[in-house]
Amino acid sequence: MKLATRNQATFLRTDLARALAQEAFSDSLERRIDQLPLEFRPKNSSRTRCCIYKDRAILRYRLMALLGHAVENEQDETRSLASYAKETLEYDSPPEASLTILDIACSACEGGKHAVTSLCRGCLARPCSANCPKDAIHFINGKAHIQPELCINCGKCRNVCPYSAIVHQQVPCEASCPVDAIAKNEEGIAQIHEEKCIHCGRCSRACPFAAVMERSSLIPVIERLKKNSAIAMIAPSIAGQFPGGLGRIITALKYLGFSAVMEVAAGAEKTAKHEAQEYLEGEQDRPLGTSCCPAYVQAVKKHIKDFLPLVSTTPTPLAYTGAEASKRYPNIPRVFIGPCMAKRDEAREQKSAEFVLTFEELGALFLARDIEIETLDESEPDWSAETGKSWEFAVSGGVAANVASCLSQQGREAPPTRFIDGLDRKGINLLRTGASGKLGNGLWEVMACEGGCLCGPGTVGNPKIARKALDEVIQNHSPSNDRV
Amino acid sequence: MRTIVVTVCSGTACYILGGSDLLTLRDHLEEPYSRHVMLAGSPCLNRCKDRSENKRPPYVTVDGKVYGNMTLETLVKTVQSVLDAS
Repeated sequence: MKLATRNQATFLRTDLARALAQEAFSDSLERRIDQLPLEFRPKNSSRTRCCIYKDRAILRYRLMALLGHAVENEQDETRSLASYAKETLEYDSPPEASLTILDIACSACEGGKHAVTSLCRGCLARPCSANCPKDAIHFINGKAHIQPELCINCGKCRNVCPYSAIVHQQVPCEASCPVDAIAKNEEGIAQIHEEKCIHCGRCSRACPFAAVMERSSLIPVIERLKKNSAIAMIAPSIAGQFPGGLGRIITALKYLGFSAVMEVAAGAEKTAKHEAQEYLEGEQDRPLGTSCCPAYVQAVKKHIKDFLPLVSTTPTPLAYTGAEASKRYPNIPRVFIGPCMAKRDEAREQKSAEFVLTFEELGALFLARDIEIETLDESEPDWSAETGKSWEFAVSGGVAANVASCLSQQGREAPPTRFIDGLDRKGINLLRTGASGKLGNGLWEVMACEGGCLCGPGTVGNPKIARKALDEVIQNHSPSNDRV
Repeated sequence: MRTIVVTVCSGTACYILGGSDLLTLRDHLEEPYSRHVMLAGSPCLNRCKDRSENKRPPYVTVDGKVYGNMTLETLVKTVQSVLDAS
């Protein structure tokens, strides 16, 4: 099941981040943060869960995650949010791991089981019971019932029922995870197994209770924005995430307090050029996997080690952009702003950015500062791509298209290309097979998110609308003057 | 059937909180409704600052009347019922 880009859960998350950011901008974080759950769910207000008190308790944990804390690590329930806020301000660094589960928000979904719905007509043929290898289906008052202790979830009954009356109940987070990194514990509450997790963020999108949250870097970033000391490195997928077009988004970033804005698409130009070279020089009997999607690179490192030697060693667009940023603006913290939760791992490992924010978090900052983007004048980025072509890195197919275009400039043919558009279990198996060389050579473009970065877990714009905005950027793009 | 104007607020708050989904309205309207809708974006309608009446972004005007807390489903329903009544 796919939830809409924006829904009640994402609204609450963004609005809460907005409120938190407002307090941080006005230096009242510690004084005010413990009031926020009550202000969001005042007495006699409507509630989402059983009562406003549980809603408030969950809001408290959401605020902990927004402050960058791991909810799982809570030792003392009586501790105030103010003391967590104080710790965040003193620690002043990005949090370590990226995802955290709000155990009391987790609904402990029943799942992984087959169940008979009210559509069962108790027919005469009863193919469900006839086909069950474990004799797990019995009839009570003329309707089928599955005995859970006997059922082995083979699905035969579901496939043969002429009324589609038998369903396989899924646990949304577990079903969305391509690497089995999220699973229910004995109490039925979801838990993330860090050693397996690739931080793709699918579970955070899939959970209808929004119980999986990112540990945010909002507060340390805001502290730097207040001093006008931070560089924004914007992912190409920023197109269409906000109203008003790219030029106005850049002005809005400057209003927030970013001292410079750099297009990661400029780094992507270098990535494409070097990846094309690497392809030409590489072994010709094995595939070359693209390097820019960090969730897939994590998946390779943790689950498909045989493919690791085949992942391109070309630096990612962020790596090039981060290096340029530290050359131009030494010692000013760099903030990557993108759609991605896994980019944090990459930024930390490769030291290419000090902080990572998602578009959703950036949106909360715009709201906190009441910035009406579409009313602003347009500005130029401080570092930009030479053409719009590399902005295509934001969508599936775009990385391969850029590499192919670099090769054709050298009079070479485009490589045979395989696309893994959305890294699911099937894609992971494909990578395993590819590592053995059985599938031949060529360029393998892998995007963990189906559709590419434009559909990432940290996006706020509708993908179709965003795609139109991206095409506009690609067509109208001109490099800014001070490019070196 | 009259033709009506649907304006989706493209202020920052409305856009971020679901307004961009609403801009795909036309893909979700069936004939004959889709022929009778003129869809446009608009600068901030200035409703988002008012949190009374449990309303919230995204805001849309359908045939001159303002609606808050819109989702694609509720917008489709509203447009259809306004057109049906016209």
